[in-house]
Amino acid sequence: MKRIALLGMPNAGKSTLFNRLTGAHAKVGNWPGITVELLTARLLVGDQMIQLIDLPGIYDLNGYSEDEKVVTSFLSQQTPDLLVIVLNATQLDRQVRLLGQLIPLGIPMLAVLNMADEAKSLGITIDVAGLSESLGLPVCLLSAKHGQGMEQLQPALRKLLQGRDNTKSATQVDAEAAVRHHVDVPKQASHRLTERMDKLLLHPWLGLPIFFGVMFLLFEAVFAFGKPLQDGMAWIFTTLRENALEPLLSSLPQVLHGLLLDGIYNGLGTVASFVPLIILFFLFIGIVEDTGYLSRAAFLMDALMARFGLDGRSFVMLLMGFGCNVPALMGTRVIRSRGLRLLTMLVIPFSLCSARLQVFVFFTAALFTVQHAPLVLFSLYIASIAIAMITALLFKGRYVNHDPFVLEMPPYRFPTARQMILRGWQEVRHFLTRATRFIVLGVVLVWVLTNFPQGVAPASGDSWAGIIGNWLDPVLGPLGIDPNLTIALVFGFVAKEIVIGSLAVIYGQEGDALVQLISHQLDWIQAYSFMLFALIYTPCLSTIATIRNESKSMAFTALAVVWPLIVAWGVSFAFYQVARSLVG
Amino acid sequence: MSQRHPERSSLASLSPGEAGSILGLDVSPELRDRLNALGLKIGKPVTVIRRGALGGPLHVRVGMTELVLRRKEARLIAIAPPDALTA
Repeated sequence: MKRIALLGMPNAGKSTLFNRLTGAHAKVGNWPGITVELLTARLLVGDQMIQLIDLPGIYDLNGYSEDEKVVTSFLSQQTPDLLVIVLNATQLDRQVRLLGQLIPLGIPMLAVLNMADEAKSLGITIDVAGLSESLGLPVCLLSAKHGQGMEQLQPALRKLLQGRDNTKSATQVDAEAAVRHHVDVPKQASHRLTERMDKLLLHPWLGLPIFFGVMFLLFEAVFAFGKPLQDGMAWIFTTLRENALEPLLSSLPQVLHGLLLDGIYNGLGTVASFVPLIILFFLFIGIVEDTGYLSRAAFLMDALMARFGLDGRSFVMLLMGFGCNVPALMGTRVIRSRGLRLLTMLVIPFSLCSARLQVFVFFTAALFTVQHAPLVLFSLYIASIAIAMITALLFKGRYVNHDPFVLEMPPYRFPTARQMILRGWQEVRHFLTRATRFIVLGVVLVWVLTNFPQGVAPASGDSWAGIIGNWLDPVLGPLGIDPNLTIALVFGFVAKEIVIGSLAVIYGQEGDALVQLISHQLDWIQAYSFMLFALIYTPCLSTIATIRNESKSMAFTALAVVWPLIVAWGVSFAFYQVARSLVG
Repeated sequence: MSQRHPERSSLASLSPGEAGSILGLDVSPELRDRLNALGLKIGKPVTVIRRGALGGPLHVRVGMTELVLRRKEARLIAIAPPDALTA
């Protein structure tokens, strides 16, 4: 199968073009350096099936960052049949430099000038035919986001693959001169809306308060819209069980009946009821990411982050970690200094990810009033950032940052409905993958542990789970974490989704009944202590595996597991003991 | 470059709204590549849009590209005497 590689500078719109071409779901974000894995998809060009590869965005062919090394080794070791270089049509003056570096490689190439819509509204005129002739390669001007001009791509790719492209390859190419001759940028061209918005959003004194205000509103909105959806889903699962599954499966042997309904169905149902909330959460995060506000956050926070040995990019990775820690960890590849990269990777796992959010939404809804719940949730976000910063402060002497901080500020852009829907769908798929991999296995194991040896009362002290819980009681008891919760925490090590799934299994209830039961078994001090522990200790196995892969160091990976465990124990212990002695 | 105002000769010394053209990049080869790729090249005019609070980074514009960089890096970029821009 022939291979076509997409290449370009960060933020030129490669991933958007990739999605537009394949309908596949590469992660798209208006943040330089978002594409961190090699995404591939099949694409029909004419009657030929080819493989399309989305390479990470790079500034330079001779660069030194992980991403740049990935691209250069890809180009030399698995030379594609065709390169599609994506350039931002509004910034050709500087982006053409990369094109100039690629031409000497002699790989057949198509230049895509993306963001035609922005170029047009800025009054930039491009003589496409002239540019193509001077560069000696075919050029397409289009907008991957809105789809204009996409129809030129298929014929252009087909011609190139069949070697029928008529563009005369130029012998001596001065790419920068070609752009100077054929591209006209008006003197006064600027993104006026962006400038006006930045005046407010990057205001020296108002910038940060506005940023935190926006974040607070965002999480409030997730909670306000998401909670009723989650309640509705939980109700659907309960009704389905009572009215359809119970009668249908009543003839099964008791063990199988228990495993299917109390184990898998209750566990998975409880987790699945959070899917709408999570989709909503990622939609909101996705919109913020796509608008370019994250680069502004990096600018606003850099001075503060520098005091903690981090920089603005580290802060953005922490924010991305609120979605999922794994891509945030991989996003650190854009950082060239190993010290800063390791320090950032050490703090990212403290970021309150969406899987942990489910646990906290569940517990805050069970134990706090409707008025208090969002504030409790917000306090956990504050704790998440505070612990990350304290960790950075303690380790900054060990992982020293020498990296210069230079970052592009893209204009504000607003994602289309299409992009948002794609994003939501991605999250559902991601959840389903996790569900089939970890959650089913996790809840089945928990069910077995709580129901065996045969004949014990489920989740009693005599069950295997009870034995493990009691054995760990000297460690977790002083934190107010009882043996039942201990089992949930043990399995939460694998993935946080399992925590609530396993609670459903342990207590043999789901939906409202589970919430009721838990609110009777625990008081708010125990619940908050449990949440603090769940927030701070290892997020999931995938995170550990990613830290291992990215750091290529066992010692560092061990530190990234052990340090959070120590902090989790210490913080929960301090909170529980102090709160207990004050409140009683 | 003005001998009487040596402190006014780097990008870090420009005030918001001031522009100048780049005279030299006194940086490592790696950083020079990155700066070039972002459009900061010798001879190019660059405008400071704003300076971050509390010693934060500079927000600058070169051509159609806006970028932020720390003052530490900006000090290594030599600038021809600034000509004030009208707002």
